[in-house]
Amino acid sequence: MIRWTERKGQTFTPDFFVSAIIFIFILNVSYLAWNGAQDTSSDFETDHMQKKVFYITDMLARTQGYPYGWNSTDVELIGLSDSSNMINSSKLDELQNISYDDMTFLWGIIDYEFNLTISGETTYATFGKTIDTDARFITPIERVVLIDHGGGTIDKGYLRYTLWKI
Amino acid sequence: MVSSGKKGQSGLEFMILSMFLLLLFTSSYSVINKNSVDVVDHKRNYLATSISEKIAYETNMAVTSGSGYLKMFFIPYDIYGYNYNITFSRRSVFVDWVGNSQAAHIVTNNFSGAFLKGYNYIENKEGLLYLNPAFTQAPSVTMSYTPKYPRPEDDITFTISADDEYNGNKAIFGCYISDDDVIWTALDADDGIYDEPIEVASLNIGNLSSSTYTYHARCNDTDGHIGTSEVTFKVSASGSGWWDSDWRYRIAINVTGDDYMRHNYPVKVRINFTQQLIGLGDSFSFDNDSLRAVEWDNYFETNIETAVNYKEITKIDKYYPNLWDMTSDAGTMGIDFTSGLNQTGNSWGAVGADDGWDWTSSEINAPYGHNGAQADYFATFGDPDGDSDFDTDDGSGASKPDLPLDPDYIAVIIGNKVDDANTGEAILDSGAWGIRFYIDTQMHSAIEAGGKAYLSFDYYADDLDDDLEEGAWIKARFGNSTVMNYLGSDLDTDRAYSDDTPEIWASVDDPNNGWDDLVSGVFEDDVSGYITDAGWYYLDFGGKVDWVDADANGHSTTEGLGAYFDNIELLIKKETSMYDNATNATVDVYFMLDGATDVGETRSYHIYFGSDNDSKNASTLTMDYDVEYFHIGYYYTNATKMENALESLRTDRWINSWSKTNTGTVSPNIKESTIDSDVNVVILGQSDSPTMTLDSWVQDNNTLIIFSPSKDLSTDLPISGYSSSNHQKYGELETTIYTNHIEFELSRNSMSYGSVDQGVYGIRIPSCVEVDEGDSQVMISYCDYYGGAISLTNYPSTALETTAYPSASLDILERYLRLLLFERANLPTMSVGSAEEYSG
Repeated sequence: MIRWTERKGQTFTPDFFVSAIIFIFILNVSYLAWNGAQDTSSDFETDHMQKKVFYITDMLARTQGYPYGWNSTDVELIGLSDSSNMINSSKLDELQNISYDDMTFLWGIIDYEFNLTISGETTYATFGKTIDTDARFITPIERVVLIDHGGGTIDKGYLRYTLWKI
Repeated sequence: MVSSGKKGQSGLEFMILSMFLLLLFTSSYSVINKNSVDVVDHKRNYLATSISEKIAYETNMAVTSGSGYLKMFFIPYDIYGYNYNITFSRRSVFVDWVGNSQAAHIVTNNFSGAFLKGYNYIENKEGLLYLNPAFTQAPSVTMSYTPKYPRPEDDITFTISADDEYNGNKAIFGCYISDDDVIWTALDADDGIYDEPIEVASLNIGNLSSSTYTYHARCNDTDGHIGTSEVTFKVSASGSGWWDSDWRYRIAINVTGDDYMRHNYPVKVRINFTQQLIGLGDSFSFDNDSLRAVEWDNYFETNIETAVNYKEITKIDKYYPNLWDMTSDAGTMGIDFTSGLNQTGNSWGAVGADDGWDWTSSEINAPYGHNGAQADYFATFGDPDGDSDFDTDDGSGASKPDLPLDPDYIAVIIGNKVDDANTGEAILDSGAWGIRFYIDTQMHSAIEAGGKAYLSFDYYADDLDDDLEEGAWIKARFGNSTVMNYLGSDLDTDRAYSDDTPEIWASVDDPNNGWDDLVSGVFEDDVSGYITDAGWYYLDFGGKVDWVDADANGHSTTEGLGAYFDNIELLIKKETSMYDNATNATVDVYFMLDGATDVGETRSYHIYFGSDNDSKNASTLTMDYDVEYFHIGYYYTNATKMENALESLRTDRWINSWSKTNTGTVSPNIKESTIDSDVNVVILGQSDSPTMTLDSWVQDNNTLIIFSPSKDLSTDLPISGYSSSNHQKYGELETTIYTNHIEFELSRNSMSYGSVDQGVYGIRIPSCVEVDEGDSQVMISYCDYYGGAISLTNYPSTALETTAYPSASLDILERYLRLLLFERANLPTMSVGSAEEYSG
């Protein structure tokens, strides 16, 4: 009896506690390391997407694109502005003639989905897909722009661009 | 037992638990590590992609934004520790690193400039893209120190100036100083705060011990651009790198040895001191006595002054009086008879006509003497047209003379025409060729203005039967209708046969023992003194024989003298200095690389100078440097003219000293042990036979010059391999280059000279100079050899003036020696810096 008692009691000896603590510690460290790596990877993806969105919208809002009088067949850089942050509505019309795949190719985002919306009091134009709010990574940006409708009509508006990755 | 069983159970449980934990840890580590590696790879990929897209974005923005666009941007220096390259291909920019690559689209790769890692500027200027134009760069940083030539007791203050006004026009953010380029000390701005594009910072570091120091400076602007500078200076007890503060200016000269060592090697550099003074803002005249050459090395504690000399730049005008050469020989300056003889009449004599070459026969007017009582002896005149047969078998029975190899010459054959019955009569006969020519006003003016008239010709004297017991002479005269002057010198006084007039050559041996069967030589002398005005002049040369026909066997028709002449030249030469110490102080400065200059070694010198505005005491150039310049040892006898030439060179500061050692006249066998210890140039005569280790002697000293005048160099020592003629003249050294003669000679005499190496340290083929008139008749063979030089020369002489010392005029000999010693062909590379002024 005495021996049995002693044996059962051994489970709760200091040895057990020490080993259990070590085990839990290593488990935690492993979890943190794994999770940290995953977080780091996510951070880079997010950062990368933010830069891309910035570059794309900067080009859209601040430049006239390339070639300067581009059309849907010869465009290399999509720019919608005649002067900085002044969207030319005729270029929006021309943008309608560019396919979704061509846009992702030109912007270098073929691994991503996007939505581009130009709006003011109403939505003037929208391109791309419907935003997937459940995407793993999603990066929206909104820039204040002026929209030149021609004939001297200029409205304040927004250029919203959302990039996501499923 | 109980106790023992407990222990065993506890150990087993612990082991199981440990193994479990170890397994768990290992698997976790493996998974986490792989995940971490993947994450790092992702990071690098992301960053590379980011860099390429950044470059593309900046480029595309610059293109599409139009002219006037300017932007600064940053790209990382590396990709997490990996270097990367930015390349362009068509319309893509690539970021490549260790086998990986990321690309992005750009609309153009037509830039001016290049992307930098770190900060970049991109500018669109009228449609063209400029990367990092000058104004976007790091601030300009300069560093100076005072005093300029510090002593160990001097406090040294550094001043660092940073200027970003032009480069980036950003405020300077800070300046730092370091003595090792590793640990930097921040300096306060002199005005208290760094807030402007131009800032100055200073630091007094106290004094330093004697040594050479390098201090570094760096300043950065608010954009992060860093400009750097450094200064190297010497602290020395001598007080300064400046040799003498009384000498106001100096020019740095760097001399770099090439692929072999040189020893006590003279170099020269041409400097226009007028231009240098103008550049320094000194309007006074150059003081040509102020020249000093000083070697300076950062490790020297003091300056090392070396001997210096200079030579003014001159213009040389040459005139050649018309000696009636054939028109087909118009290309030659001298008369070489290659197309025959130009003669239209025979009006021999100074009062004759200007009708080409003339001769005189004994019956009419033997120029140098004739016994009119006998008529069986005569002179035959041969010319290169072939209309006179030099073979005196023709009508006289004499054997064919030992003619010079060159078939084109003029000749005078003097001898017995018919078998002689031993009449016991005294025989005296002579004959000569002559030419009348005109010295015009321009030529005469050149002589009056200091020019010289040099006459030179080759001569040959042949004993027709190789046993001429008679006296024989080669004679020449130069003059006009008033006076004809015998050329040469008195060579026959106290000989068996002698006369009262100078000669070019004379047989001086015992007439019963005969004389050399073919003697040749070159005569060259200054005849300026005989040209007293413009007008007609006359030149003749020929031979003379004299003997008493008392031999019991009589004399045969085979006996007599053949005298031959070729390559006749009269050159009037005027050398005009172009030097003017006020307007054109251009001189060749000579100085000596003292001691050994190793392969590729760079030695630094300063040429110090001043103007008449200075108060220094530089009344003359000095020559007080015993070890640096040439000490000449002349090992021969009867060397009056050589002694005079050497003394003139010494007076003119071209050599330190000279000495003469009378070694006798026959094969003195010069050995290293018999050469004076301070002699580094040895001059030997023709009969010397040096038995020394030439390689080491030349290497340790400098130059060996062997004169071999009046010798047929095809058969006589010391030079072999020449044609029979030893025609020569003193002209400029810069002519055809050969080496074979010296090589041959050194090889031939290698038993005497010791080892002869023609490899790396032996004969320097690029340095070899050989001077002739293009007829392969050598005057000088000269080559760098073991860092020094060896020269063999058959310098102009008459055969017997003394025991073979050169007989040409003193100024020719002096010039000739100077050329041998200083005008070397393969000088080391020399770079000349800008003149600077002493600043305390």
